[in-house]
Order: sequence, then C-alpha cells, then structure tokens
Amino acid sequence: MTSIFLLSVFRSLIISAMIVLISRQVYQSYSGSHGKRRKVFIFLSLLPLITPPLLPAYTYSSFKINFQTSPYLNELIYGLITAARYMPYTVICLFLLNYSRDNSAHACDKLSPGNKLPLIQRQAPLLLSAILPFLLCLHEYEVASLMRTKHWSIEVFNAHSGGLSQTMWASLTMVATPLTISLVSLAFAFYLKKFCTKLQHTNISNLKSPNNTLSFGLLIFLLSQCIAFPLLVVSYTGLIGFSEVFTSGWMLSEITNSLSFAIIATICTAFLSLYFLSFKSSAVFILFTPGLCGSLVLGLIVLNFFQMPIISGLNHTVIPLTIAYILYAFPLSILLNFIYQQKFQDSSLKTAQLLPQQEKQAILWQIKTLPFIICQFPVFCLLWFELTLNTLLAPSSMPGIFPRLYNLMHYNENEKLSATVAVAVFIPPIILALTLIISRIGIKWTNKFSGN
Amino acid sequence: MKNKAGKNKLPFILLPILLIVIFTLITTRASVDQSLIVYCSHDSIFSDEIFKKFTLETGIKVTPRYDTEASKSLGLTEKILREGENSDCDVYWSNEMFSMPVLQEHNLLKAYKNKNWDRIPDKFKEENGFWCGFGARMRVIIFNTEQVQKPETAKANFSESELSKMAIALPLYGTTLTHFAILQKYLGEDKLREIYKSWRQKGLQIVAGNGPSRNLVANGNCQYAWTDTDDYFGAVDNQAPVTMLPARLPDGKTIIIPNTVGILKHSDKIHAARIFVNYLTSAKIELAMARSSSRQIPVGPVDEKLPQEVAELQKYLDQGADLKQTFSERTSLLNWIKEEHQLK
Repeated sequence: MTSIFLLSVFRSLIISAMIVLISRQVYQSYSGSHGKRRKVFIFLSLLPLITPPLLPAYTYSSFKINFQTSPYLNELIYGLITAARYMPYTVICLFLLNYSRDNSAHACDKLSPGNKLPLIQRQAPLLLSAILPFLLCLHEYEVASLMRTKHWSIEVFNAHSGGLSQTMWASLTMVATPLTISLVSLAFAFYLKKFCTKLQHTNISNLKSPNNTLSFGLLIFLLSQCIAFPLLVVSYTGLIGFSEVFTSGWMLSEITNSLSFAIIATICTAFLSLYFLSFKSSAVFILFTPGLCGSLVLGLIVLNFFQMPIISGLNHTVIPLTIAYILYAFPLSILLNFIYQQKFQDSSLKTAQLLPQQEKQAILWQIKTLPFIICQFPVFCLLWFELTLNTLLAPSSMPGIFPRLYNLMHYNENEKLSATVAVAVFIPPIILALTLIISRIGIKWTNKFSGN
Repeated sequence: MKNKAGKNKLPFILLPILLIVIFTLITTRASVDQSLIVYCSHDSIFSDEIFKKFTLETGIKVTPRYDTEASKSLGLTEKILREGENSDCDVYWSNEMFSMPVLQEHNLLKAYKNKNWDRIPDKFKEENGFWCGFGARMRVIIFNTEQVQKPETAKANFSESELSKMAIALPLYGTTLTHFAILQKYLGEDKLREIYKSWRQKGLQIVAGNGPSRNLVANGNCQYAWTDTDDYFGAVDNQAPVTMLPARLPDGKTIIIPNTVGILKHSDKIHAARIFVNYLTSAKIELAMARSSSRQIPVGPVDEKLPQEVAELQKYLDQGADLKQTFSERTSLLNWIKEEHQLK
C-alpha cells in the first residue's frame, strides 16, 4: 500500500504541475483579451466543471484500449482526464488572485523590491493555485477506479470489503498518511497567503505577452479529449433516449433531490467558510480533517456517527448527507473563499465606496459579488456530481440522479445515458446563470430601495 | 459572537443552521408515508419495472434504494450492517447469495416461509426461511470467437504458462467472491492460494468487476474471462464476437447464483414486506426476469415457455453446486485475498 500511496502522491504532483502550467497560460490569455475572445476563454476553461467525472473514463474504457496491459497509456489518459477535470479550479484560483501579467507590470516588477524575494515567495500565487489540484488529484477515486489506475483511494475501498471487520479506527488509520500530507499542504497554502497579498500589485515572474494561439490550442486539446469526444460517443444514439427518460418519472424527482442537497450544502459551506476564515485562527484546520479523508471514509464516519442513540432519530433525514457534503466540500470552499478574500480586501473596493450609489453598485457587483459567486460554483459542481456520499447517506425517499447515471454506464444503456448526461451537464450552468441573474436583480432592487 | 475585527459574524453561522432545519422539516414532512423501503442491488434498469407492476397490482407503494457499480457490494449491505436496527430497510433484495448469511449472522433478518417456498429448490433458500432465492445467474467463461476457435479445448488454457489474455474480477466482491469461496471449499485454502498466486505470476488480468472483464473479451483485448450470464448477454446484445461455456468446478458442477430476498427483523411493515416477498419469488416474476435482457434463470418451475437462451441455461440448474456450504469460507477467503493484494 505504501508504494501505491507514493505513486499517487508523485502522480498528483506531476498532474498538478501540468495543470498550473496550462492554467497560467490560459489565464494570461484570458486577462490579456477583451470582449468576445475573453468570454470564449472563460467559457472553454470552465467547461470541464460541468462534465460528469466518470464520463471520459467510461468512454475510454469502452474502447479497445487495454488499460490493464498498457500501464503507461493508462497513466497518460488518466493524467489528461484529471488535468482537464481540475484545470478550471486552478483558473478560478488565478482569477481570484488577480494574477495578471502585462508588460507594464513586468517593467514595474524589475524595479520593484519584490523581485529580490526568494523564488518561493515570488511564485506564491502559482504555488497556491497548485495546492488545490494537488489535493483534488490525491483524493480522486471514481475515475481511477473505473480505469484501474493504481491509487491509494482504491486500495482503501478494497480494504473495506467484507463489512464489519473494519472498525472506524481502522478506517481512519488507513487514511492517516494522506490526511497528514493534505493538512501540511493546506498549512503551506496559508503560509503562502501573506506573500500573495504582498505581491498583489507587483509582477511576480518574468513572462512574455500571452500567446493566445497556444492557450487556445491547449484548451481545445484538453477539452476535445475530456468533453467533446466522450459526449460524441455517448450521444451517437441521438435523441432517442430523451422521450423515454423524460417520461420515466424518476428524472425530475432525482434531479430535484440532487439539486436540493448540492445547493443547500454549497450555501452552508460558503457561509461557514467565511465565518471560520474571519477568525484567522489555525484551529480552522481541524475542520478540514473529515473532508480530506475522502468520500468513502467520510461517508462511513458520518453513517456511524448518526447511529449514536441520542441522534439516531436523525439518521433517515437529510441531515447526515447535508453535513457530509458540507464537511466534504469544506477544504475546497475554505481555500477558494480564502483566495477570494484576497481580492475582497483589495483597495479597489475602498475606492468603489467613494463612487456615486448607481456606479458603486455596478462596480461592486463586478469586483465583489461576481467573484464570490464564481468562487462557490466549483463547490456546487463538486457536490452536484458526488456519488459515494450520496449512495451511502441519501435518505431512501430522496435518491440522487448520479447513482442512476452510473448504472446506465455500467449496463451500456447509451440512449438513456446520453439523455441523462445532457441534463446533468446543463444543470450547473443553468444554476450559475440563475444565481447571477437573481443576484443582479437583487442588487438593483436594493439600489432602488436605498435610492428612494 | 465577534471576530478579531469586531464584526458580528453570527449570521454566517445561523443562516446555515436555519437552512438545514428548514430543509429537514420540508423533506421530513414530504417523506412520511407508508411505502415499503426495498434495498435493491439488482440493477435498477430491470427492477424498476417489477416495482411498478407490484404497486399497480397490490396498491403498496415501494421506495427502492439502489446500489451502484461504483460502490460494489459495499454500499447496501454495509449500510444495513452499520445501521443495524436503525436501518429504514424493510426488505433486502440482493443480486447474490453472500449478503444474506452476513445479515443473518448479525441477527438482522426475520424468518418467513413465503407462499412460493415449495417451488424453490432447497439449495437456493435458507431452511428456516430467513432468506429465499429466485431468478439466478450462472458463472461462465466468456470467449472471443475471433481469437478462440474451439472454446471447448481452450478452457484448458488456465494451466498455461502465460495468462495475460485471461481476465477475472477482483475476488473481493459479488459473484467472483462466491466463485472463489466455492473453489476454496473444493480445493482448500492452501491450494487455492497457490493457484491464485501462480495465475497472478502468469499475468492474469484482475479487473474492477465482471462488466470490465467481459468488455476485455468483447473488445478483443483478452481471449477469455470469468463473468456472469447477464454480462455475457450484454455483450451478445451489442453484437460482440463472443460465446460462452459454463464455469465448472473440479467435479463438473456449475455455479448458479440466485437473487435473494429477506425481510429485515426491525421492519414495521411486516405485512407489506411479506406480500412483496411472495410477489418476488413467484413464477410470474421469475418468468419476467428470464424475459428481460439480463436473462435470469428461473430456479423454480414456470408454466410458460422460456426464451430459447434461458431454456438452454436451465439445464445447468440441476448441476449447480450447493453454495450454502461455502458461507463459512467467506471470512478466511476475504482475509487472504486482502493479504495477497496487500490491502491489510
């Protein structure tokens, strides 16, 4: 198990380095472009967020690729799928860190004292952005399982087979090392915070003007193998499955169930993250622990916890799954909200306060509300596509849509699968769009009200 | 409650609590009904229809809870075991045999000799009625016909020096675990360990489940693999170049693994649960399962004509080994397989 764990750590480091390099290139092109081109970049770089994680793996495993006898090919495809899947998180981190690199800033940088800082401090924003994909890669389970990639999370899953022989303590012992590494990584992220603040208005590395063709090429390459190709494969059966799926009765209720849990848990996680971050205490790390155990161990811990006589009455309510979702998303949410706060504390906010009411609201929406909503979006996507916790903890009367989706994959029910995937993919952007519209209207109403 | 900056942050913690309370109240009100909760590890694509028909015919509403391939057999059995008497499960419909004795060992099942008790052969039911089998699958060796011309002779290949063209599922779960348990009963632990070790040394491909091992053969990456009849027919329906032979034990017996159903001891809907068990073990349901694309083999007699493919499989029923004798092998088997794969 130790060698597989070391392999998982090494692989996560390589993939996260690859993600950071691609994301930096993409983000530079995004920040250096305007209008439609800018929108295209942001749209393409966020696209993997709304793809069901197992879809690419399912597609590749359906082909005549023998992952078992081609370990290098397996590693390559797994690496590409994972890189494409977690790239948006890093792009969002860079966006929230306001990681811009124009030539004037580059010139300023040469004059700035920040240039004399050690490398680790100068590259703090990039390192900070790399920690998130590293943790996500390290705790990934479903894709590795489907592709039979050697991963510590699969070993933990297999070690649990056979039922009760595994006590809670045994489960926790199994995840002790990855948990420690994750906590150390997060501590490092907090350590890097002060350098990000210090360097926010200076240039941090010697970079040339963004190469838009390269960025576009990288995005298209990753998206074609992670989204376009798998979608094409599952949807080749056309729209035949739609009528069957929509008249089946389960679709609407299962989507509503999954959506309710994901939305409620995302809102709760966002508020709790802001609450705990406001204390600026290292005690916040304790709250990361359950989420960094991985979905299986976390699910079993929560399941056991709700067997205690005093709270066993809550066992079949929505509370266990909502709490598990919050704990699971907490590390990601804390990290994103923490980075968001760097922007929130920006002096531009103070400047905006000096503007007339009408303009102030518009600017505040642009520099405060919009980043805040974008910051919560990855958390929503993470919870929307979650499978293991849902399987273990959802009340029997509220099954989610994803256990169904994965059964359709297993039985090659491609017609129904393509219809379900289409719905699953469109839900997150619809929710994001609705949230943005509602928040915009809300701000306008507030503005009107305060104006009167 | 104020933070270091002196700002009141209480709403940040009160709002989530309030949201969870409202969410709980709304959903608790909505979910309070008298529907029968059935934990079902048989695939939802096939079982949904059965639940619908049952509700139509009896007026009893069923709320199914399904397992997923991703959580393998860990999901539902593990949940019932961990929840014990707190479980909301009224009836457990398992797609294999091994879960039931585990629940029985933990005193979680209620004995009930259903109305169809006599039509189910003894080897597919627990003698006191704690669980009962119906609609079975058979363990088979699936062959790629483009690579293996004569499967009858090719099965001898298991003893060959190179097994990289053979696949099996990791024997920690489901029907492959049962397959290994019966082999252990026949060969003894030491001998099976030795064989398994040598298979691994010869490059045997051990994959995540029966579906993936079937896919390796259907795609031509492997020549043959162990799988179940329902997976085999999945490949046949996709026009893959495959054929199959029953996997046989050293004495020539076949391995027939039925679905099983049991009532949970703590259920407060015993009457509805019994009606459901009677329904599920009936000849009508066995026939429906035989006619579904998973082609389950009826273990009891059925009045109407079976599909040709299932009728052919039915002849292997009598040759099936008594799997109940293998339950005692489970713990030691799981232990050495975990040891072998360094999962302990």
